[in-house]
Amino acid sequence: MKFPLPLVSHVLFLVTADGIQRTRERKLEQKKEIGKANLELKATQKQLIQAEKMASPSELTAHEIQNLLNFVNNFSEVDAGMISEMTEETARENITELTTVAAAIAENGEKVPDHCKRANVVVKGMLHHSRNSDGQKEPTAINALAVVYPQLACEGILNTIFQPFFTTKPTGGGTGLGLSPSNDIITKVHGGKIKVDTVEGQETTFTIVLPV
Amino acid sequence: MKILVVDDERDIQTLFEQRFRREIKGGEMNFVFAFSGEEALQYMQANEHEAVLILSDINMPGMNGLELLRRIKSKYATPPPIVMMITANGDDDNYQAAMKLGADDFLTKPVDFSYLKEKLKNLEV
Repeated sequence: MKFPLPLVSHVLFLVTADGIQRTRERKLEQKKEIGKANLELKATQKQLIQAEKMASPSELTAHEIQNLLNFVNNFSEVDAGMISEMTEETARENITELTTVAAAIAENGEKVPDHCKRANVVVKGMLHHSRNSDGQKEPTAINALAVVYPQLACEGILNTIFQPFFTTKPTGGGTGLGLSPSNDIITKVHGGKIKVDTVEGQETTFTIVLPV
Repeated sequence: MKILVVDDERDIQTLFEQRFRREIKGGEMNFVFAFSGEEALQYMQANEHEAVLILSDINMPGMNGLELLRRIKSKYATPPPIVMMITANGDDDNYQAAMKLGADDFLTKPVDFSYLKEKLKNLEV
């Protein structure tokens, strides 16, 4: 599977105690800065974080599929309503209104397959990720993966790139199911860490720390 | 009645415009759309007091709907616009947070449009 983010110049894999220590130190520094900047917002933020707590990937996948199906349902229902409207307008010989409604139906004709296509991509992604679901850990060519996988981020979206379904690709282009499972696999399955540093428009470094 | 709809899903605009075709045509309702929390705040700054009702999604990249709600309720105090949250994540945490931040209503997706239409029409009175 391919992911959308451009501009990765290098990817570092630090599988050392030194790396873990450095990551920890940097994290600590970041935490201090964030704490300073948001002091007055703390209470509310806590509330928001609580509410925002991520549901499981499968739950979110289900939500996403449901969301897409809702669109399909909605547009089909609206189409039915507009077709009966056309019948009324035909009786009234109101050509202007007929044309408007017909154009809206035509537009929906493109939206329905578009949402179906997106649902299809999500399902495919889900099947792809569940391929080896027996929890067995296998050796893999990590350098080859590093070339294909992680891709960019600019400041504003750094916090969101690990969220499921976040993508910078246009509709139907990406699933947003790349970095989020990567994050889960690295942190939850392997007990490691993934960190991203970026200089907007220039370079992005993903640091992946895995316990040996 | 001016209604600001906030959702990162752009097709929401087409959907609302079609679902409320008659109301829009009849001039009863006037919809404007923002595709992020940030965009919604920009709109509100530029058109203060214009939107009387805000329908916002919660799960959006960048500023989420709860943060938007908090900012609207703390910034636009007189009179505070009515804010209804619409979310696919209708869990209790989200609900409690929305209520604490002053949400006027909490609807879950899929949106029941005839129910929403009734609600909006009753608000007008």
